[in-house]
Amino acid sequence: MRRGGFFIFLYLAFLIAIPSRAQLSCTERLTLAQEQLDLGRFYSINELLKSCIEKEEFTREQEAQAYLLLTRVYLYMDDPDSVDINYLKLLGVNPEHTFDADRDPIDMYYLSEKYTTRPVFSLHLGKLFMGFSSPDIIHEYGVYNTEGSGKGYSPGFGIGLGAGLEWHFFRNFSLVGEIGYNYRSWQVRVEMFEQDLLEMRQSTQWIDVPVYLKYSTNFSGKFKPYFFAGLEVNSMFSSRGRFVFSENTAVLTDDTGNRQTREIVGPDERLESTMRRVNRSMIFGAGVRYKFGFDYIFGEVRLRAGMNNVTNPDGRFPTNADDPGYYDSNIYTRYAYVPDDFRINQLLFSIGYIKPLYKPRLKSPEQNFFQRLFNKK
Amino acid sequence: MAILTMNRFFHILLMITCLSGMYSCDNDLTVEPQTFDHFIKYYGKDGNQTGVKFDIHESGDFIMVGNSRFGGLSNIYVVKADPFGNEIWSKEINHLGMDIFANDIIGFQDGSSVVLFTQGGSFFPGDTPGGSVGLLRLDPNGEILQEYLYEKNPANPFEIHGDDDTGIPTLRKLEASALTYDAESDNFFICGTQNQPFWTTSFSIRVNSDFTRVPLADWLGFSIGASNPGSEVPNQMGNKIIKLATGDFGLFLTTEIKLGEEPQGSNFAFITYTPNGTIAQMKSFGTTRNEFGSDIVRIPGTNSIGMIGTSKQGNNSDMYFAKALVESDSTRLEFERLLNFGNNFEGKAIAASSNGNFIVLGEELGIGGKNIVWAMLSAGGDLLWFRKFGGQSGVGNNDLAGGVKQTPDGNFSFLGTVTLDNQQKMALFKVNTNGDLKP
Repeated sequence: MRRGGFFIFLYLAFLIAIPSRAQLSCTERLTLAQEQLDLGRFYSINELLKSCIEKEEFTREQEAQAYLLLTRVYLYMDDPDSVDINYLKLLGVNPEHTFDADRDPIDMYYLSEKYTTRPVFSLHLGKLFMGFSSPDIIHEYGVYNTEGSGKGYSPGFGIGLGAGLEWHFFRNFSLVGEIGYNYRSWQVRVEMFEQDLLEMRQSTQWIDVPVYLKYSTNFSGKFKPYFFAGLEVNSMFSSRGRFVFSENTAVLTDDTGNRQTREIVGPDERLESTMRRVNRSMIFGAGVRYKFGFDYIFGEVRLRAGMNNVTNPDGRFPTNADDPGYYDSNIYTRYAYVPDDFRINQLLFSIGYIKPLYKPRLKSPEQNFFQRLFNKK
Repeated sequence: MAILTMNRFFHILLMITCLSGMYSCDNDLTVEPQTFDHFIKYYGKDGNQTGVKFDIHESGDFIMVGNSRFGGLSNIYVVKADPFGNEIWSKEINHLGMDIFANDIIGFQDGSSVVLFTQGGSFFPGDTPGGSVGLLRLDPNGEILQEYLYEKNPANPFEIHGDDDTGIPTLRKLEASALTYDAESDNFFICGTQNQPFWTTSFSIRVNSDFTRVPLADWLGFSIGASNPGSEVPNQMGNKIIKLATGDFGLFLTTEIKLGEEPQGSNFAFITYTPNGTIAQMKSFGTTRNEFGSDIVRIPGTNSIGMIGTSKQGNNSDMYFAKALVESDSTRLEFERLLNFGNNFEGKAIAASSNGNFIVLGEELGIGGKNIVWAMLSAGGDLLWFRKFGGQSGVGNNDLAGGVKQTPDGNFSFLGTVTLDNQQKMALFKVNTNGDLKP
C-alpha cells in the first residue's frame, strides 16, 4: 500500500511538472538546469535545455552556458563522447571560453587543455586606406635640359579599399594575403623655355595583391600591436594626367618687363601606355588590433616601397592607338612632357575589421614550425 | 622635406632588402638610362624658335641652327647640346639689325662651327625673297670669331654680281640653301638661289677658311642648258654641293631647263665638276610632274648619291627620291620613288646610313597642319619603315622638318620645329634604327 501510494505521488508530480516545464522560458530553464546540476539531478538537464538549443532560442551567452552545463553533466555521468561533443559546441559558441577555477571542476581544466579554438584563418574585411604617394626618380627625362633641371614632384592623395585572408600558421606568426583597389596620385612641376611652367597631376588606379608575414603580440588588454613585412604585386589599370602648361612671355608692348601668362589646358590625357601594367613593391608596417566582441578592429600604418621602374620604356613616347608609327600624343606635342623612370612609394593609414574564423578542435602535439611544415599528419 | 625624408627611408629599406638578395630592385645602377638612345628635346625662349639644320661634333655634341623671332626681327638661333640633347648653350645672333635667316651649320672637331645665313627677306607678298648671304664662325662657346657677308656692296671687293644685265642690282637677291665643307681644300661651298624679279638662277660661292672667295667653281647666276620649250622662265634653284669620292664636286639643282632628255617641267639636276670648276657632266631626274629638290647625300666611300625633294602636280605632292650612280663619264639613275603615305608630302632632307640605306625627312600636309615624317629606304629602294610626328590639336599646328643625320652610335637624329599650341620651338629628335622613339 505504501509502495502504491508512492507511485501515485510520482504520477501526480509528473502531471503537474510537465505543463509547468512547458511554460518555462529559456532563461528559466537555464536557471533550473543549473539548480538541477547543483542538486546532482543530471538526467533531466539535457531534456530541460534541449528545446531551447534546437530552436536556437538562447542568446549566445546562454547557449554557451547551456553547453557548459551539459559538459559538466556528462563529466559527472562519465560519458566522454558527450563531453567532447558539448565542449566543442561550447567552444564554437564561445571560442574564448577559459577554465574558471571557482566555477568549474578540475576536470574542466584538463578538458580546456585538450582543446583549442585558436583560429587557423581570419578574414580581413572592409579595409580602408588613405595616404600619400610620392614618385622616387631613377632617371629624369624631359624635352628640356635634364641636367640640373627644376623638375619637382609633390606627393598626392590616395585612397584604397581591400580585403584579405590571414593564415595563422605558427604561434604568433601569420601569413596574410590581400587584394585591394588603390587610387594614387602625384604632381609634377617643371619650368622650361625660360619662364614657362608645366604642371601635371597624374591619377592612377591599381589592384594591389600583397602577401606579408605578420607577427602579432599577445599583450594583455584590448589593444594588441602587430608588425608585418612582405611583397606586393601592383597592377595598374588606369592612369590619367591633367596638364596645365602656362606659357609666360614678356609683354611686347610693354617696356617695363611685365610678363603675361597664357594657360593651355585640355581634357585629361591617358597615360596607361607610358606605364608598366604589372609592378611590385615591398611593404612594411605596424598596427594595433582592438578587441571587438570575438572580432577585432584595427588601425595600421603601411609603407609601400616601389621596387621597380613603373615607366614603360617602350611607351615613354606614346603613339596613335591606330597607327603605332604616328607620334601624335598631346603629352609631348602640346604639353612638352616626358615621363621619368621612377618607382612609387606610398605612406598609408588604414583601418579595418578582422573576423577570426575560430575552429574548436583537439590540440595537436606540440611541434615547432618546421616540424609542422614537414610532419603533417 | 618630408618627402625627401620619406624617400631616404625607403632607400634604406630598399637597400637592405636588395642587399639581402631577397628581390631585385630597380635603381639608377640597374636601370639603364635611355636618354642617349632616343629622345625629343625642345629648345627655345620667349617667342618662336625654329630648327633648320644641325651637325654633330666629333665629341658627339649637337650644334644646331635655326631662327628666333619674338615680335621684331628674325634672328639666328644657335644651340649646342650634349649627346643626350641637353642644352649646353644657346645664342641669339643678330649683328646686322635686319632680318637674318639661318640656312645651315657645320661643326668642327675643335668645337667651333660655321653658320650660313641669308640676310634680309621678303616682307610683303610678291616681294623677291632673299638678300645677301653670309658666314659666321663661332667658337666652341658660341661667340662670333669671324664673319663675312657676300652682298651687293660696291665697297666690298667681293661684291657679288650675276649677269647684271638688268641694271637693277638691288632686285637681285641671294637666298642660301646649304653649306658644304671640303676638308681637303679647307674650302667652303655655299649653294643657293639668286632671285630676280621674274626668274631664279642658282649660285655657288666658294671661299677658303678665311671666308675669302676662291674663284674656282665660284659661280653666280649659274644657268645650264636651254629653256624648256614653251617656258619663258627657265627657273633654277641651287640646293646643295657635295664632294664625290673621285675628288670632283657635284651641284644639286632644281631646274626647269630641259637637258635634252625626257623630263618636263621642273626637275632635279645634278652637275659634276672638277675641283678647278670645269663642268664634267649633267644629268636631270624627274617625272612628267614638277620635281623640286631639297637635299642630296653621297653614300660614304662610293659615288652613289641619293636625292630628295617634292614631286608636285596641281594640289597633290609626294616625296620624290632618286638614287643615282655617278660614273666617270655619266650619271646613271638607279631608281626613283614617289613616296606617299596618304596625304600630301614634301621631301626636305636626306642622310645615308652606314649600311647603305637612306633615311629621308619630310613633311606631311594634313588637315590640321604639317607633321614631320621620316622614312627609311633600303639601298634597293624598298620602303623599310615610315614614321611621323605631329600634334593634332588645332588647325595650323605645324611641325616642320629641318635636317637629318646618322649619329655616331648608328641611330638617327633630325632637327625640326614643333608647335606647342601657341609657340614654335626648335626640336631635336633622336630615334633608333627603326625610326622609333624607343630603346
